[in-house]
Amino acid sequence: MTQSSLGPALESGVNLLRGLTRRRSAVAEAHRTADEWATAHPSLAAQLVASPRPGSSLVDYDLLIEDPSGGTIMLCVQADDGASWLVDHATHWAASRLLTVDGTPVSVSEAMLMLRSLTRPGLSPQDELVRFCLLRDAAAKEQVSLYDIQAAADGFRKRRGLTSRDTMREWLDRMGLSAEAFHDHMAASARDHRFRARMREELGPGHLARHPERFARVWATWVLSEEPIDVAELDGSLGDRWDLRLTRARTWSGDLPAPLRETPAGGGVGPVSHDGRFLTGLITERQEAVADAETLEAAGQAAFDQWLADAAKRAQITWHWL
Amino acid sequence: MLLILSEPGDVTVHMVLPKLKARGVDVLWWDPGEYPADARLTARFDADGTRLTLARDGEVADLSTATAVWFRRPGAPRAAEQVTAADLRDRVGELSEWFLEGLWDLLDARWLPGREPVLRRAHNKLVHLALARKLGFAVPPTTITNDPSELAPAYERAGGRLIAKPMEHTPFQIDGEAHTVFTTVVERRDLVGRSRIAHEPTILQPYVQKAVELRVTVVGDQVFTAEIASQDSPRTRDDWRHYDFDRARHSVHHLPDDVARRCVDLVAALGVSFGAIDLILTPEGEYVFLEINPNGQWGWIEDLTGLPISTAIADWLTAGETDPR
Repeated sequence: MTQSSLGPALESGVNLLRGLTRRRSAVAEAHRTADEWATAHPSLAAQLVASPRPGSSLVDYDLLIEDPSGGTIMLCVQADDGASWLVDHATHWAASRLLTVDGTPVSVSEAMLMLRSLTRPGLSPQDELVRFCLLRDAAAKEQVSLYDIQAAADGFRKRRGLTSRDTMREWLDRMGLSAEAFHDHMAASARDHRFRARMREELGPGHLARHPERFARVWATWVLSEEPIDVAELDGSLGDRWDLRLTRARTWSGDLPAPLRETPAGGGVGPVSHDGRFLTGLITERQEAVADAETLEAAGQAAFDQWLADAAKRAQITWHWL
Repeated sequence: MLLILSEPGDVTVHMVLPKLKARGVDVLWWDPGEYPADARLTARFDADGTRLTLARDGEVADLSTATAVWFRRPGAPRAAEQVTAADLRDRVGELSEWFLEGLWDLLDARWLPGREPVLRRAHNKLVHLALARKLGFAVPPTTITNDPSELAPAYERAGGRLIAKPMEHTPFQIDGEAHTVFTTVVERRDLVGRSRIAHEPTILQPYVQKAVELRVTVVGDQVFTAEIASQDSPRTRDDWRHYDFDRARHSVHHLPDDVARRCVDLVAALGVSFGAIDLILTPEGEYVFLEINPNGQWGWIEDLTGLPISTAIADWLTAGETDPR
C-alpha cells in the first residue's frame, strides 16, 4: 500500500466498523465480514479485534491495519446511536449472578465457594448448588458459637490437609479469600451443620414411625451379575464367576435393593432382573425396627434428605446463563 | 399515631415495627400504592377545621393525628383495574400524586427522612456535593457535564484514572433486559465514545484510592458507621454496590469526631432527619465524601454489623409522642 492509498483505505475501514453489530451474538458474523474486507485489501494485513465487555452484551471492535510508513494503525469507531456514555457502559442486571433460588440471588463467587463444599454423588452440580442455596437460607438463623466455627474450620482444614499455618495461608491466597472471609464461610458451614443436626433430631422419630419397614436391621448378601445366579451359589461356591458385584453388609432394610427389602430372615430372592442386570440375594438375619439412637439417626438422615429433595422440587429456580 | 408509608412486605419496616410496638405507640403502616384503587382518602375543610381521613379494609384512620411520618418506600398511586385506557390510568396517577402531595403537606408531623420535595433536593448530587464542600468535606474534583469536549481533559487531569457515574439511578433496558449503571472506570479506549457524553449529564471524578469504603447512617444526630472492605473483592473494588458479602466484609468503624459532626451537619443542612452517606477512607487516612442518599437502605448494615440503626429510628419516630415539636 502507498501513502496515497491510505486515505481511501482508512475511509473504507471506518465504513466496515460502522456496519458491524456490537453484540456478542454478532461477533462471528463481524469476523466473517472483516475477513472478506481484509481479502479485498490484501496490502493492509487487516485484523479485527473483538472485545466483549464484562457484564454486558456489547462488544467493542478495533481494526488493525498496516501503516505504509511502517508500524500499525488501529481504527475504532463509535457511531452515535443515541445511547449515552453511561448507558453504553451499563451492566446487565444479572451479570454477576449464576442463579436465583426462591428469590435469593447467588453470585458467581458465592457459587464457587459452594462448589468447594459439594460432595454428594448422584447429584449434578446444578442440583447440588440449588440444595446448597436452600440449606444456606434455611440455616441462616441458626445460632453458632466461636467453638462451633472453630470446629468447622478444623474439620475443613483436616479434610484438605491444610494443617500448617503456611499451607493454610497459601490456600487462602490461591482462592482469593481473606482470613475474615474464610471465617464467615466457616460460620455458614457451622450453621449448616447445626441446622442439619436439629432437623435430623426433629424429623427422625416421625419418619421412623411412618416408615418402620425401611429401618429394620438386616444382614444380607447379594450379587448383581450379567448372567443369572442361583441363590444356592451364594453360600460361597461362586467359583470362577467374576462377572458380578458381590455385597455383604449389615444395613437398613430401606437401603437394600428393592427386591430384597421385605424378605424375611433366612429368605432368598432371585435371580430377578434389576437395574439392567440380574440380582440374587439372601437375608441372613433381620431385626425389626426399634427406636434406638442409631435407628433414629438413620431415620433422621433419611427424613432430612427427603425434606431437602422436596424443597428443591418446590423451589423457584432461575439459571441466568445456562 | 405514627404513619409509615411503605410497600407491604418492606423488610426494613419489619426491623423497626417491633420496637415501635414495644414503645406502646399506635402505628399505621400504609402503602400509597393502594390509592385510589383500594383506599379512600378524604380531605374536609369546614368550621371545625381540617379532617384528613383514610378508609381501607373497612377501617377509617384520622391522618391528622399523625405525630411522625416515616416516608420509607411508598408505592406509586395505582388506578383501579376497571380503568383500562392508558391515558385515563395516567390521569389517575397524575391527579393522585397531586392529591397526595397536598395531603402530606397538611400533616403537622415530624418526617423521617423528610417531605418529598426536601428529599428530592437533598438527593440531587449537584446540591449535596456543593454543600459537602462548603461544610469542609474533602470532595474529589468533580465535573458534571454533557459536553463531550470535557471528557478527554478530565481524563488527563485525573492522570488516566477517571471514573464516570450517573446523576441518579433510573431503570432502563438494553435488548429488553434491565441494566444498571455502576461507577465505571474510564479506560483510554473509552474516550472514543466521547460523543455519547452529550446525551445525559455525567459525573466525572478522579479515581480515589481506597483503604476501605464507609457507609455512614445518620439518624437525627446519631451516627452509625460501617466499614466495607471493598478492596478485598475484585467485584466491589470500583463500586461496592456490586456486593460480595463473602469477601467485602462489613464491620463497625469509628469516625473521627470532626467527620462525624460534619455528617450530622450535612444531614441537617439538607433539611432531612436521616441520611446514608458514602465516604472513602484513603490509604493516607483522609475521609473523602462521595454522596448522600437521604432515603438510603440500612437494613443490611444492621444485619452485618449489629449497629442499632432500627432502634435509633424507632427512638426518633416516637420522640414526638412526648417531646413538643
